[in-house]
Amino acid sequence: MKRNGAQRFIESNGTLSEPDTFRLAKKIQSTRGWVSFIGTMMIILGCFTGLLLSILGVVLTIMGGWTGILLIAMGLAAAVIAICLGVLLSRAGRGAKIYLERANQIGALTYHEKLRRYFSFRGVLAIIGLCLLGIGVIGLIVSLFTTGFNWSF
Amino acid sequence: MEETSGSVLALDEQILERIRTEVSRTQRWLKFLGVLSFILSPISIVALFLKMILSPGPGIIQLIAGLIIGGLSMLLAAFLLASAKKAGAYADNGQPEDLIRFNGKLSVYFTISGILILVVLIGLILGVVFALTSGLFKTII
Repeated sequence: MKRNGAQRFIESNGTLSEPDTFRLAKKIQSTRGWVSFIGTMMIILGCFTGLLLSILGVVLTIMGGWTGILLIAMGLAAAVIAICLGVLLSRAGRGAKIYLERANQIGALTYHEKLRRYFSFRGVLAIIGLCLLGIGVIGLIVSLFTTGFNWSF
Repeated sequence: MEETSGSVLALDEQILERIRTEVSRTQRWLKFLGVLSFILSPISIVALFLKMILSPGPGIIQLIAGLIIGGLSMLLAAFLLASAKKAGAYADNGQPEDLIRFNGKLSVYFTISGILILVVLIGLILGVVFALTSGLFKTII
């Protein structure tokens, strides 16, 4: 008789055996270091990029022109996004550390929860990026039609 | 982990059920990001080739770098899709093996991402050092 997923789950009692737990812990351990590293790098690079673009923006604004303000806004947005993603990954790494070193189950849950938030955030960012790309393409087509397909803008 | 054994690290049913919910919710985003990367990576490679054909110039390094980045992002997308598949299987069946494999795929994904960041960082540092030691720095001064 073929068993469905729910039946198999009930039969496995919904728990992990000791070897399975050890294998899961091994996988989480091998991910933990990289997750923390990427998180830290994202925070550092986010701050660095934001600071660099903001300084450049301030200089351009002082020299005159609206591109400086745009650059400051872009720098701040890039910094905030990178820092948020970095913090989520760092917290995931910390959750994994708590689970592995203190054998605290909540750590394992935190690890999976923060990773879910990280990928959700990245997904939302991708959707926003796609929308902006769509708006850009529509704008390009409209401008081509209004200028009579004159490519030299 | 050296001093903690599998029995100490055991997860009770409630926690596993909550992890299962989290994995189930992660699966959709993993699939979306994987498919998006899988579509966008070949497009970026084709765009790079078109750019090379339309405006040929000193771009061979740019082409190689673009191909490597495009290939790696496709590889990362493949791992995202593989982990999404395992996450979906775990959300449906609750089999421990699927949870382990899901974490295994994510581990490879983050390892490749981390190595990529390291390579970029080293390239950036080498670039700055090269710029400082070459004529660029003297030109600026």
